[in-house]
Amino acid sequence: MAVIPPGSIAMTSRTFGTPPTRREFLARSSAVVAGLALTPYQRLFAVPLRSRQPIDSFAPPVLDAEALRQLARTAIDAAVHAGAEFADVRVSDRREYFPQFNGRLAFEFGCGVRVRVAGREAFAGSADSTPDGITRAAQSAVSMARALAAVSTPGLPLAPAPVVTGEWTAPIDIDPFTVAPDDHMFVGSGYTTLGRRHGADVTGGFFWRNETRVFASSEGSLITQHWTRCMPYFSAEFRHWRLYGIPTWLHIPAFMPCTGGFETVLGAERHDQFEAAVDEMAELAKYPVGLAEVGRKDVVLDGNALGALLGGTLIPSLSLGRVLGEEQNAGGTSFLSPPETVLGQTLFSPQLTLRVAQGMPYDGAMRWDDEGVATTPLTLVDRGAVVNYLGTRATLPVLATLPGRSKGATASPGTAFSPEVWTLPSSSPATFVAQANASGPSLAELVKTVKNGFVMRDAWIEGDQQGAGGALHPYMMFEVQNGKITRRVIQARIEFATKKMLHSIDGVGNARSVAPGYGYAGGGLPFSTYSYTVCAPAVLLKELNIVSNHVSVA
Amino acid sequence: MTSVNQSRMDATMRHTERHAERHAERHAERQANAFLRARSTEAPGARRVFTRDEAIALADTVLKLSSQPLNAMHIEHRILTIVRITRNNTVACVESDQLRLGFPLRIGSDIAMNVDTNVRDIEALRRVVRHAEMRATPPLRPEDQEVLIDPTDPPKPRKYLPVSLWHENTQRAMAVMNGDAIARIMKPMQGQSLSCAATVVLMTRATLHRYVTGTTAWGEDTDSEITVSARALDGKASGWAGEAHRDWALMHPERIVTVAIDMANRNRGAVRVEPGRYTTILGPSAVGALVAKMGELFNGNAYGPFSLAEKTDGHVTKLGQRVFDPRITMLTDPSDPEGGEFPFFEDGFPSGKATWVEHGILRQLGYYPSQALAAGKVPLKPPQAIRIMGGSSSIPDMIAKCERGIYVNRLSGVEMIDQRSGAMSGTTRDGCFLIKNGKIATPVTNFRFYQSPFLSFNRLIDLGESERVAFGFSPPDPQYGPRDPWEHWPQAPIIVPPMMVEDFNFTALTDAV
Repeated sequence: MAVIPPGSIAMTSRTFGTPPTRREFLARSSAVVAGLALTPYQRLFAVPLRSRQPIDSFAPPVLDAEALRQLARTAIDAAVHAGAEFADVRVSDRREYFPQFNGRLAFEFGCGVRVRVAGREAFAGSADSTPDGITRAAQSAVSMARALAAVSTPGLPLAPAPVVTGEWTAPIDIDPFTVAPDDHMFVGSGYTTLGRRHGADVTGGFFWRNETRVFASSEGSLITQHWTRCMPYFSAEFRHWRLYGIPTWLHIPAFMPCTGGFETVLGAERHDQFEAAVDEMAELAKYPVGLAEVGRKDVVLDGNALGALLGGTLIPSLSLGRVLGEEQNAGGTSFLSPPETVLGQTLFSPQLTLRVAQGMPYDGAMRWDDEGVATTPLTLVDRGAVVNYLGTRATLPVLATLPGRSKGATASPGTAFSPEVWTLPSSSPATFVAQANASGPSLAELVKTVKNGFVMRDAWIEGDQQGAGGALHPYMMFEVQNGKITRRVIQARIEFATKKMLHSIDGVGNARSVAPGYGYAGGGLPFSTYSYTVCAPAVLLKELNIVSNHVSVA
Repeated sequence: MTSVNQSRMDATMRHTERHAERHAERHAERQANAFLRARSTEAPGARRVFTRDEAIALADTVLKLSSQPLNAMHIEHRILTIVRITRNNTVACVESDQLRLGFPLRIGSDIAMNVDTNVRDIEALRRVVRHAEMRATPPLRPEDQEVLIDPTDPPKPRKYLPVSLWHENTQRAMAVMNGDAIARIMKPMQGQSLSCAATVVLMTRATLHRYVTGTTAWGEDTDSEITVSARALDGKASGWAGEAHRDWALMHPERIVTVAIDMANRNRGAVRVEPGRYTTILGPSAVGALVAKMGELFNGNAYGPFSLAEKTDGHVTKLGQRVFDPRITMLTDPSDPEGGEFPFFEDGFPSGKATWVEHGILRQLGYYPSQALAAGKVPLKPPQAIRIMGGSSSIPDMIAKCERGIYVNRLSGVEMIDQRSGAMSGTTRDGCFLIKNGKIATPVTNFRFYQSPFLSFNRLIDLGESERVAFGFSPPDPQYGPRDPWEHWPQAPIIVPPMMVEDFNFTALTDAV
């Protein structure tokens, strides 16, 4: 790869000087792995932050695991002493590092205490890391629960869970907080520089989160977990595609959120995957552009687009809290209700199987969930039939009370999670997997089967409050005629009803077509956002409704 | 006095002064730690977020922690109480005490790193600040330098609009857990053949931007909201109502529940009606959902309906041109007792009152401080809190004059699809009715719409009296992902009238109820 002279390409990101060649990139990566002293590179970066010292040397964790355990015990003791018949607590010490744009370093403590008094539930969250502070949170939760006795009826008992003590650390090779900010920037800019070969302005980087989380309960559980998460985000803008004054962005799928260390962003394979993704996008950027012909057409969705679809409709709808009306006045309800008419019924294509992924290396990997229940593999949709909901110890018992005795289990499968520990745990694991077809076609082969239709590369979804339908907006969409891409189309979207759309899956791609899509939903207490990564294969869908987005301004 | 004695005296005095300084510093740090930690002995109803003096004392202590002086600090302390009622009689209660301390570490004149933390211990903060080893890097090439305003060295003294956004009624209501209000909300729910849910949210907040030069931007506010939804037990009808007030004493809990239940009952037996363009009466909540998405379009550097040309051709706006119906005036006034907001940007730069649109003519656009410097303009925050001046009509009046149209109670999932035209999409929700010959004829199933308010506000038939609208939970942006947890609630005040417009575009039916 040739070195690009400074100043020869317009740059918007603040990484300047001589970009690293592939050799330099790999050599530097190796140096990081080996822990060798690094050669100075005074002129590589002009952003005025940097240090050659590891982040840990100037930003260590504030509280260690034993201090967190002690705080957790303090909270449980305070709650029980104040009169709680049940209490559980989550305490967390977290660091985040975001190298780009001056570098953002955040460190946070959080705690959340849930209590039950005479069957009424209350929760207090706080950022006060002192024993007094956590005691106060526990006492506050108990007094709130007591106050509710005058105005509410008792809730159902929590679903049973075994008492657990233990510790788990996500297995990683290189803790990113033992790496110097200079090396973080070097690696990030190495990737962004790749895009400039084709006139693309690539922005992005890696966001790191390092957390120790302790769970304790009045039942006797005490669990400590340590994990490191990587959240990459890259997008490429091709300036010669600027249409109507709006630049065109495309996400680069070479990376996905994961539980892992700095090793996940290093090495020749990563570098080459990224380069291949940019090359592919640059080729796609060369197609002519026009408006889409509306109507009912066959559409191939790549893994990103299918993941976004599932993450924005089906997955939130599988939350038992929504199904039972807990989120009626917040995140919404669910089209997959009532449970007695849904569980076990084949509602979607038999080619759709969806499961929760809570093990390494997926984002959200944990050994126990935020209610102290061991995480287990859980299939939600099996060959088109809904077989499980996402529930917590608080919501699952309701299933057993419904008319006709619901077929779902009431023991928690370990899918409760609090995005922030000062929020009540809800059924929101981070990562899901839609099963690929081991002997299926690639994305390109699926496209070849389309006579008159489209292929959608990555999308975002505009859903409704029940997940019953919505509109799928492409980041890039191409017209396909007789198996070949002819042009890029704009100002179009797919309007759909979820059940019907997922029933119309006519072909599923193989493992190589799998890519991450992202969906978002909200709810919980206090209001929270849940983000879902869905690793999904490419699929062919028949006769979808293509609608124009074009509107003229008066 | 001999020179030796003089030297000794000088040294003694210097030692004494240093000792006094260290003593004062330790005292200030102990005080700061006391402010950071929860106050466990305050009486019920007492204030728990920082006062101005406490916040300034804390900020001044932190600003002195580094051997390389910190120039600026931001403190935000927010306490939320949320009561959630579900299935008519199940109540859960949450309290959240959130603190954010933010400051840039600087080396020379460059910002080295931005630190965000909620750690409540001075020693921990000192460790981060003092142990950082940063080095200055070569200067940027001239063509790569951005023109930035340095907010830590303001050239002139700053003036802030006086605002009054704090209400003791709201503070007190948090402490007593609204026991009375909860009972008043739940009572009308009993015995209904509906599943009712409600959310009661109260907040107190204090925010401070403090610079080492002494410049200070301070704000404190309270806010509250009640939203209620009611759904038929067969899941085929729903209704919703809500109120939002900074002063809890203005809330009408029973009325909110009654309206939601009434809407749900009226919505039973909804029929499907062909989508298309209809004369539409948008209730205040529906108008508010559209207006809440328009704020950033008033950014003077945005490419949207207020721009005439692209950046490469020279950014030209429609300032001075008529962009809406002459009956529409939109403004932001931080000192508005109901619709006000903090009179400064997120970095503490002052921002004042703005009349964005006056009788339909575009009068002002917003510019962030760095944009303003580049354009030679006064910084003005693009609107978050917005008031649209109302008219004299009412929803019954609008219905009476409508031959055939749709009444929409609320919109949901509203997203900007095309920034250039301002086109938005979403669905109707919790009450949608067909109007015929001046009367509500029948409830109808929900629609998906695709419409630009920039068209609708030019197809205005009538508008009613303005009121602040409630939003409830704001879902995450489907394009850009999770919002900062601090952004979920409260929504900045949006005060708008109901509007009757022509040709509102309903593109499809939706199965969602």
